[in-house]
Amino acid sequence: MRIRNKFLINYISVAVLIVVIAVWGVRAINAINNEFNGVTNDTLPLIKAVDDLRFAALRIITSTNEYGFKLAERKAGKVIDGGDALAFEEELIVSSEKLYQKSFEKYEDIVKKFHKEDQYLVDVLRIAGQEILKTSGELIEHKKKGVSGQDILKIKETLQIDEISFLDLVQDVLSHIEKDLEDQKKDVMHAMKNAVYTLIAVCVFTIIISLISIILLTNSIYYPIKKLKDATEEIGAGALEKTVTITSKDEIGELAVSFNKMSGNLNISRSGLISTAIRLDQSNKELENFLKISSHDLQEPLRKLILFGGLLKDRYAELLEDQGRDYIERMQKAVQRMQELINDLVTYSQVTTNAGSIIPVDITAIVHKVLADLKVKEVNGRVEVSELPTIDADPLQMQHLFQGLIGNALKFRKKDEPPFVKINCTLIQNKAGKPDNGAPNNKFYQITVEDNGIGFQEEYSERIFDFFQRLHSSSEYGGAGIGLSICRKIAESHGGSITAKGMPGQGAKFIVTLPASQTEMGMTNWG
Amino acid sequence: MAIERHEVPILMADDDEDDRLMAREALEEAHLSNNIYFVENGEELLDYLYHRGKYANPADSPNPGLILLDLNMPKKDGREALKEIKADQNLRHIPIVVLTTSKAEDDIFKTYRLGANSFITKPVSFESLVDVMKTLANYWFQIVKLPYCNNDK
Repeated sequence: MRIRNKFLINYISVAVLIVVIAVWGVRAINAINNEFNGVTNDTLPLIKAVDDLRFAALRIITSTNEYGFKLAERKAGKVIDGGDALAFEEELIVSSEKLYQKSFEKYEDIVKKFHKEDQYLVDVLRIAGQEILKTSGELIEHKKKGVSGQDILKIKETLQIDEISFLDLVQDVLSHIEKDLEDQKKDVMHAMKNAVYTLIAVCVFTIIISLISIILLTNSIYYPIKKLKDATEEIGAGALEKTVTITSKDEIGELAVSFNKMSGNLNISRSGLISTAIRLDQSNKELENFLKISSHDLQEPLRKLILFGGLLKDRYAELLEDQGRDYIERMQKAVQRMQELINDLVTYSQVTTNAGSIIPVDITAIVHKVLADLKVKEVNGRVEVSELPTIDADPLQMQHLFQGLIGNALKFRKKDEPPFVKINCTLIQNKAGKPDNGAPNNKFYQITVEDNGIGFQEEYSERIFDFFQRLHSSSEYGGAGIGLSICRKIAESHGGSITAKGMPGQGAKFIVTLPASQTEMGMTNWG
Repeated sequence: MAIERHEVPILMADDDEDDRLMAREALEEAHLSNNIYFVENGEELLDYLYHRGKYANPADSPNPGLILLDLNMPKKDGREALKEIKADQNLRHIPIVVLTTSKAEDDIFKTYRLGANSFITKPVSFESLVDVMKTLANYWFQIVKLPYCNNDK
């Protein structure tokens, strides 16, 4: 399944669960609402009606009592204007009867509507109420007929009994209603409890379902991605044959397929590179070997040429004409030049094939040794050496390097000016533009060899380091044109570099940069 | 039977005919009367010293008082021959001067370790070769006392 679809399904399932919760919630609220409506639409009006009924009944009783009392007073002649008061009480009784009727109707109406099972209470209450009405009506009737004090007393007693039984009944009705109310309250509580429990259950269910689906979803993405990440790290560390197996049909599965293709291609191209590197290394070694053997073997016949040339000249020159002697002279010069070339080749071969051990080398000592060998005094030269560092290097190669550079500076001197060579050194941290060759701290020394010689044109500043590259004819300045190539080779094999700056007639400046320390990997492969 | 110093025979092992010729001429040029005998490789050198094969007759092949040894020779090279000679109780007293075209530090170190008495790079000019011969003769036959130089084993 596609990752997009997985997310979609996850979303939909959570959404469905939320809808379920909402439906449950609405249902629970409806149930509570129904119960509540029962209370407000039915029970509360019922209580009010019964209350009104009691009030009306009590008013009838009170007014009837008052009426009876006033009637009795009048009879005894105690009251002068009893007529108005009686009429007032009578009116009160009539209005109370009306209220009673109205309340009773309302009560009956509600019971009929909502509590049909309580009809018997209505009937009983009606009978009790009618008793009161009847008794009250009797009193008024007696007044019209003329009534004795005894009658009044009797009616009053009857009324008292009626009142008690009526009020008892009302009390019964009210307690019945109260019981109903209690039941309803219980129902509401129950509905609320149910709603809360259901909501909690649905929420918990939803949380668990979402959690499971999220875990499944995350796992289906996390583990393949982790596999890919681990494989990427292994490939980064060089294990190009590494592949990943992810069977899922989603985007990660496709990524795994592409990944395997990539690692396969990388592996193939690396194998190609390795075999090319091996071939290169072999051919380099063969070349070095060839150079070593050929330069060595060339020396042998050359020595003979010099030897027999010398003997020829010593022993037989007198027997020759001038031209013959000139030929011998020219031959010997050519042989001498050939010797220089071969010597340089041998040196180059030695320097490039015999990488010695790397030890701390005091460059100052090396330079002084070189100066002693070079016989600076013979050319009236002066060499100024500032403080030079001790670095990790091959001592023999360092000697070759400075011999080459200082020898070069003395050799290309001006004809009318004694040579002056200045050697300086500065420390460079973290040499810019130089790839990390493993030298710790990236500490480099820049050693400059500056002369006041004939210099060279700026455009040749690179060419002078090329093999057999010369700027002057060999008759002007000797040499095979290998010296600076050797210097560059040594600098580079130590993880350093060498550059040159110059102006014709204004001297030359050679800048050697060498790392202060070498790691085992620091010495690059020769060749 | 002790012999005169100027008669001490020199044995040269060198495969190069020119070098052998030059050595003989340089000896003459230096006015040295020592006899010089030649072998062309390590096998022959050992045959000579052990008087085997064509060197069986000690009169034609006297025991040398000094050996001039080239390192690079066919069949058995100078290093192997040097090793065998110095391993032999009866031969190790003979001074061996390595005379070779090599200048390699490695060769110098190794041959001295094998017991060579001197290491000389073949001079480029004839005059230098004559000087070398003179110096060698002066040192080994005049200054230094050599042990017994006789033809008895």
